[in-house]
Amino acid sequence: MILLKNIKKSFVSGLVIEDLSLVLGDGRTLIIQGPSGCGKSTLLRLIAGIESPDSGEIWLNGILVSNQERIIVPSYHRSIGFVFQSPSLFPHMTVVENIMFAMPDECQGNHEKMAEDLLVQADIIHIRDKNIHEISGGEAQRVSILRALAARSRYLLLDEPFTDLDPDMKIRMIQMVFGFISDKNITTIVVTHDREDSQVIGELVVDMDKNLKVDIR
Amino acid sequence: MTSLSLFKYYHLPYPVVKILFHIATFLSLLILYCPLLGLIVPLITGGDVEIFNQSILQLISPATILLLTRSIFLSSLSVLIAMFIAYYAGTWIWMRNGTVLSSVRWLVIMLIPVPAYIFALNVSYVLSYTPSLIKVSWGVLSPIQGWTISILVQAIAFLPLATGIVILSLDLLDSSIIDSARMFQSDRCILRRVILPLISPFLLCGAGILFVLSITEYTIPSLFSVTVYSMGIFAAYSATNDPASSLILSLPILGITVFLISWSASQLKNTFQNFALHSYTPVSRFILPLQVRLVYLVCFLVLLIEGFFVIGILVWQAMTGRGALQSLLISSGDILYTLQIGIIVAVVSLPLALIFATKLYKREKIGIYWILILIPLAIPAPLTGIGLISVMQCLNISLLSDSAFFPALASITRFIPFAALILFACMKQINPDILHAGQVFGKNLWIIINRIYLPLLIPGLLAAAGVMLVFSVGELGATLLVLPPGSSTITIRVYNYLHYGGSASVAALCLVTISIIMMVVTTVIVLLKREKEKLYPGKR
Amino acid sequence: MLSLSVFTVQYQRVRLFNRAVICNSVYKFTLHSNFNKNDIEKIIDIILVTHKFLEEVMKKVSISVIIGILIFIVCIAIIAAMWSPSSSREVVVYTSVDQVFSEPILKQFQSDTGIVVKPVFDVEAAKTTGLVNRLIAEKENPRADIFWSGEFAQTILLKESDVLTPYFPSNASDIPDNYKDAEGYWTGTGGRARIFLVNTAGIPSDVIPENLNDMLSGKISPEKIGIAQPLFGTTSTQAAALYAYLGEEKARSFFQSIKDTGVRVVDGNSVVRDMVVRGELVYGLTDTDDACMILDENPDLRIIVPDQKEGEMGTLVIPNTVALIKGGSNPSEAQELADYLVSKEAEVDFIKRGWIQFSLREEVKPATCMENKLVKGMDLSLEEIYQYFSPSKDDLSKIFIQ
Repeated sequence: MILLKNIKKSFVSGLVIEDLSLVLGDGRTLIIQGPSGCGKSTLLRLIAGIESPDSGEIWLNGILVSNQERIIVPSYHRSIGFVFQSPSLFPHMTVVENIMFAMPDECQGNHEKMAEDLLVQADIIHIRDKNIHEISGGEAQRVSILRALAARSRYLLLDEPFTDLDPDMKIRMIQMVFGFISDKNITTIVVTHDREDSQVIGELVVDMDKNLKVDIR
Repeated sequence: MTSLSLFKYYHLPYPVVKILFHIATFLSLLILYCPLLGLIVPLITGGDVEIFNQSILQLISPATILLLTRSIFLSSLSVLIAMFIAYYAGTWIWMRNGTVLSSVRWLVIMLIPVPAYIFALNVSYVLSYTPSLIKVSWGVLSPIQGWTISILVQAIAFLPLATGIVILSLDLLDSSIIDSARMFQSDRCILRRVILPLISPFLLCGAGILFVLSITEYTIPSLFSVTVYSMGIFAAYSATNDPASSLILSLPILGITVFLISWSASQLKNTFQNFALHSYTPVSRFILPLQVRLVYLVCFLVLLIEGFFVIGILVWQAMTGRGALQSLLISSGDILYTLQIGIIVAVVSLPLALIFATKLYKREKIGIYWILILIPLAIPAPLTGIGLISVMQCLNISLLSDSAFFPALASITRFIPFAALILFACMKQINPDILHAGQVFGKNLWIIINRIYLPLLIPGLLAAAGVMLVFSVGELGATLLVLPPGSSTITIRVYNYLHYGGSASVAALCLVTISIIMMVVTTVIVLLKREKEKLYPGKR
Repeated sequence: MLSLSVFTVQYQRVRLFNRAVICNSVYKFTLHSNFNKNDIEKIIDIILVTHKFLEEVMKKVSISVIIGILIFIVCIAIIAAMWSPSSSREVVVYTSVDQVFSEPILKQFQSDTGIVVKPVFDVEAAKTTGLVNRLIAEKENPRADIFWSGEFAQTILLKESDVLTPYFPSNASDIPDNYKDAEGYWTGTGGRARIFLVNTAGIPSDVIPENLNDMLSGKISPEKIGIAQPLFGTTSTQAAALYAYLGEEKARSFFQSIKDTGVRVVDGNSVVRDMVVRGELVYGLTDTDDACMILDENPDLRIIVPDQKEGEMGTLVIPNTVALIKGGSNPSEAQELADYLVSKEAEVDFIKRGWIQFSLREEVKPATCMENKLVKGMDLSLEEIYQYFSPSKDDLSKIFIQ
């Protein structure tokens, strides 16, 4: 379960989140939409432990992970898969190495095969050994999604994951992602500014607000 | 890629990690400040109160204030002139990227390690052979001794370093910004309204560093009979043999340096994100009006003539004078020892610089850590040496004091702020989301540091190691005081021979120093290019 | 050999290909060589396996490990550098004598006696009298055994700072007492003198100086006269001597006039020398070792010893001094080196090498560059001169620095 209590977050540019509370039960999926700059990405980053809230508490699976200006549990111990707004792939690794990096320890010995399977599903097996600078933006975005899936985490956070994809590939990736998470009971939050994406995904949608209150158990 | 299995199951609770980092920071600061502590603690516990009081009185005397003001004026003018010429010369070289002319940057790199004193001696040498007519007219325009010539010669001495700073800042520009700007406006307008504002933080920072180097430098002014404030510090030291007087008299320079460097750092702090490590090759030549081109060309020629003049004189002296070869043979041990110190400095400084850079990176504003990390730049070298002697006496471990440990520590404590700044710049250039992705997907801190942070920082680590090695080769004032008996460095031998007057020997040793530094710089640049291609590919 | 080098080139070109391709390529080029196919295949296998192994190692070994290994190697290098086979006999000497002179002399001593000499040299350009301050700073745990100085003031300072220990060298009995410390803390040996180096090219004879006051006579533009910075080195010692001889007021007035008239004050004695040689200065005040070094290069150069006439004060003769360090680790070796440095034979050797121009012993002739002239020294003891060391520096600092 993801639990956010009375979260407040501001930056130098201004107040982004004023008083946000969110409860998302295990295995549930939530889509948050809204225009650029309304704090959607900030919300995901708070949950991931990349930012700390000015006040409030963040709980994951019953464990307090962040509170007022403090990150108690670091990102790498939160069991999170994250798709960033820009692909943010590791430039010193190849495509397959980027995916393998995210895999948990229990996949050792099998990780290369599993990574290749994911690449086949996303129809990008041909870029397996390429460096990041040698692939297109759309391919990079797909690799970024595969990396997040490969993490086999309890929580999956996707920040505008389908932006760079053409319509056919977008549908394919949505099917792949949501097929994957429904099999594994992963709690998911998707952030998008594209209402069409929300319709295609078909899950519960909320509009982002500074004082958002959501309870989905 | 997998890490060694030894560390596979290494997990530390996060609070423990934070505590360990704080301890590492504290220890790093302790190492950085051990010379200053070695200086201050004995002064507090057993200093001569009378000398202390006299030094305070001397510090606030009108004569001292006047001397300080004049020294600031001299340094400011020298730096202004150097940066002015360097801007035009460096930009001219940069505009010629991709052509033969851009290889002049290698000449600039060769000139940077030449001691300032050598420039001054060569100028003085040439002036003495100048025909009387020119001397007379020069003498009317500006006397051969005095402030004018000191300012000019110091500007010339700092010109290679200033040009290097300009070229580096231009190389850091994002080529897409320049290409897109060139579609809309003339090249002259681009240089003035796009490129200059973008690189101005770097230029200001470079000017700040040059000012600090200038105000602590007295060898050039003294050659032309000009007394500057830093000479006064050493005069006081020589008269009293008490470091307290030097430390107190150094306070104004310390204060100026801290202010300048903090201000320079604030200019740079938020600028690095606009830059990337690649050199721009213009698709088409820059088109500039004739009068503008002339200014660029004249400044470029000044740099070119200076370079060939200095290197040429060194080569000529080495080949025609007596004793060059013999002095090289005698110095072979010194050369090896210098390299040994340099390698130790380059390697040991990396973890320390990494810790400082991480601390700077985490800070949003210029604060106490910036000042703490940058202050050692302002401490005069001999005071660093005296402080280290106290540390040596306190530790009293002959295993350390008889090795290259303390000479290496002298260079580390003096120059590690530069390494920290380089690593900070490298960190700033990395897309933060890549680091965040590492945090999210990494299994533990070891993997994140080992497989994400450090590989991404390889360009910065290479550059920092190269810079530390180069600086350590030229370090004199502090190393002299902590060298173990029976050892010597090539720089000490150069200065000894300078005094003796063996110009051929000095020239030969200078050329060896330049060669060592060229080898280091070439290696770093070759390795950087390979890493750059991997990390920042496809950029012109 | 040709086949092997061709093979290496071919391997580099085709290393991305598979084993069969490599082997076929090599076979063609080694058709007429003595290699047989089995040998070639074995060599190729070894190289490919090694290459693969290195690639796997590089994949597994992370950069942190590489940096860790480098740091480990550096630590080993530090330890190796400090460990050396312990010599049965060694001596640590701190010396302010120019390295170009002192180094061969010390090497000669090492070769004659088998005692390993570990020198620490000073650097004139550092200007902080670094060595002396280092000795004072190391007082509690001295590393030096012996101090060999090119002058005497710093040595007396060290005595007053309780850095020295008394020793009466066996070879110093014939050195005059006024060049030795009465309590044995230091012993003088041959030295140098303060002189004018004059470039006589194209100048009238009445311009040639005879005494220090001629620098203020106005016979020549003051910008054509030079002295080294009087706050450092032997010039500062001469300044102290003038204060002792003339009295503080007259000496202060003399140096104030030097400053006010515009006499060139430059970086050091060697700079004065170089400027006189080049003709930038007509004459300058420097040491005999600096002057004698270049006399042969230019027939227009002359050495003038100032203040030599009847009733004049004479010039400063600066002896070398040798002193043992209190608490040094190798006292007997230090004593041996001290005996060597103050001996008559050493004085003759130093004069021959050009480091000193005068012996303190009457029977030893001065250097040939001095044309066998006897030099009249100032009628002052070294301790008297030393008393004015600090006061003169204070005054001169106000005159020349502030």
